[in-house]
Amino acid sequence: MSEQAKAVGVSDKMKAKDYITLGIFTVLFFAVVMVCIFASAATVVTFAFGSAIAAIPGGIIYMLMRAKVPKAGSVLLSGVVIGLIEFLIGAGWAVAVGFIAGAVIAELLARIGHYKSFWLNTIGYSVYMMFFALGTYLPMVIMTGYVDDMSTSNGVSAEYLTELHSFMNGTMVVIIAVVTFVAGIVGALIAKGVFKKHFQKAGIV
Amino acid sequence: MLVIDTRIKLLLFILINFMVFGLKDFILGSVCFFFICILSCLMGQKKIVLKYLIFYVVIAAIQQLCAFLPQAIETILSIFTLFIRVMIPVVLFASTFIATTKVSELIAAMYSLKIPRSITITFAMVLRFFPTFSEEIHNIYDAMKLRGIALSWKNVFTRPVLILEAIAIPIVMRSASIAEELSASAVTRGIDNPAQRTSFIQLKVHAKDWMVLCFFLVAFVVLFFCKYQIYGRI
Repeated sequence: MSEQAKAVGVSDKMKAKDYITLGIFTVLFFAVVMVCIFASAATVVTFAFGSAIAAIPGGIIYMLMRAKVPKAGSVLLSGVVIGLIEFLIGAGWAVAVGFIAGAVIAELLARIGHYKSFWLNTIGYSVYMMFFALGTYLPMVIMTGYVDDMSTSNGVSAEYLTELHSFMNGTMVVIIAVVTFVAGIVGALIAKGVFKKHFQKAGIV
Repeated sequence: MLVIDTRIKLLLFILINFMVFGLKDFILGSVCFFFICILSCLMGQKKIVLKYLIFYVVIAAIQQLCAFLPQAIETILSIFTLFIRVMIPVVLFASTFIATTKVSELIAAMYSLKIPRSITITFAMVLRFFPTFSEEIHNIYDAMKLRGIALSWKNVFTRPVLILEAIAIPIVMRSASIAEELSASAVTRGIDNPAQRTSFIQLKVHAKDWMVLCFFLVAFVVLFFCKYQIYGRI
């Protein structure tokens, strides 16, 4: 981490204070994402876009984390911790891997902008949420393949299979990923507005 | 009651994750679920096991009933129930894990596994902050009621932006000041000290821990062998 810090010209390494700040905002981020996912799971169709819904309020917290701790490794650290928690509550390893992979890319993007560029942080955030969406929904697509296996032995109608694939297939996941990406950008823009209206006056950022 | 070392529990957790996601077949998956139920029972979590067992049966029943529903609903519902059914064993073990592990034990295990201190501290922070967070939410909820913008359906639909602002802004403000206070307190107690950390909790791996791990490893191999026999692929 120290080499990275030198490379991007960020003078100081993260200290305990930064870890604590990141930890607290990670909880907020996690809570927002979870509430949105559970709320969206009320119907199956909105469930597919749960990550996109979560990306909008999550943007405020993500951008606040970047503003509070603009240091090397901060994005990656919160991504890894969220991945760990997702894993511990039993969300499956795919979600955890999605979060960590997204965090690596977001970290690299944020590094180019020295952790302070709004647009690079925004794109990083969108990519991060997109990988989270992939981690959540790709296992479901893989499961349709499993239904194929089952159907060959049980003699399920071909009609059923085509319908199944039309609902949950690669295209659907691409759509979900794109929608989540756009929602991420919208979330970051809202965050910018909220910062101006509330946090800058209060001296939080 | 069976007490398993935290590090072995983490290993088991990873193993169970792979097992559950590899075995989506109803019979093999149920066998796997059965093993996890027994383990949780042995670890003294009978209530949790019962809850998830009932849930599992209900979901499996819905899955079977799907065949009698119209095509469009059947398609969506069957994928949804399949996803939930596969997730239940993982969630069951996760609840058992959380119920039987103290935060300090988990942190001690993370230190002994040589996980970077940055991750351990942040992670510990997250676990510690969850109860504080729900307390804060309650306070904000009370304050909202006092100001006449209670969190009701009517308010959510008639003035959603105001409601969202009234929840989000105080939470963020409070969290920011809690972060300041906690870090001041932690720094005073020497969290930045780079020396080797000692722990009140002594972790030890006993023979019974290895036995449980070996049992699950054997189950892992046997179940995947069965799957290979049935489907001709892993």
